[in-house]
Amino acid sequence: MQAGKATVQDILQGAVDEGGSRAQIFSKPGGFAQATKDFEALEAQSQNLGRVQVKDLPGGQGRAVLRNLSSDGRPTLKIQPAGGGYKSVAIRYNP
Amino acid sequence: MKAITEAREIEKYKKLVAELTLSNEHEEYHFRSDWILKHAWKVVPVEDGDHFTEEDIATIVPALQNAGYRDCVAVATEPLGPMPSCFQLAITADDFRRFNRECGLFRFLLTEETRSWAISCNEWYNLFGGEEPLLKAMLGVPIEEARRRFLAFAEPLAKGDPADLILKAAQYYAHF
Repeated sequence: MQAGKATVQDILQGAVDEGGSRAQIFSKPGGFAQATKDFEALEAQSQNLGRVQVKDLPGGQGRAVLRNLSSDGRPTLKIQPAGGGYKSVAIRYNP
Repeated sequence: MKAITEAREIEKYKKLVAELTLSNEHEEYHFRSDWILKHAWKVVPVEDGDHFTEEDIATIVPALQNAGYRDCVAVATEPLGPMPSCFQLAITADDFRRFNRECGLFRFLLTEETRSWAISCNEWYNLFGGEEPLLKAMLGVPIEEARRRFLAFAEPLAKGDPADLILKAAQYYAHF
């Protein structure tokens, strides 16, 4: 996975499908370090917005948001489809 | 939907929201228990759909319109840097869709001037709060059924861990 050139599908390699009816939920190991690595690998400039980092992804992939501490207690990378249509991809990073 | 840009107005709405939510960092999306009890609210968590699915919108919008509401505000419950943190929304499907598009990945609370109802959205679930008849209409199902659906979402994710925060939210708000 080349830094800064990865697609959402690239970072889902090896992720475990956790189901979810309103989002496609996946989990990966590695905590915030892996979450940050995956986020940085996505192609686009990142922007810090308070406690989160945001990237608007090219090619109609949507928008990605990285959180260190989400409401499930884990680091989370969430990707919303372009135009806001659901359903999003949510990756929970286990310790 | 339009961003509220006047500083005094933003402060007013942030204060309204702060009175019904926790002040702890990272937990500002949770409702205060004293607010819930004082206003005889029920609070029900619902799986998030960035933030509302089409089905949610088709239920919430007529429920609020039928109760006489025409607009509401969306106030961020987390710092968002230069991004607008306060919006005025009409109670329409179009504005709720636009809210999803612009704010679907961020923590926001929707309410109106008198705070007779609120929906606090985070990245995993939305907390619907209000008095029972309106809340039931906003959920589109009886409250116990909505709680059951949320548990069905939370339990598999918890994988038997009683400390899982989504599961704990389900258990905590079941008391209200």
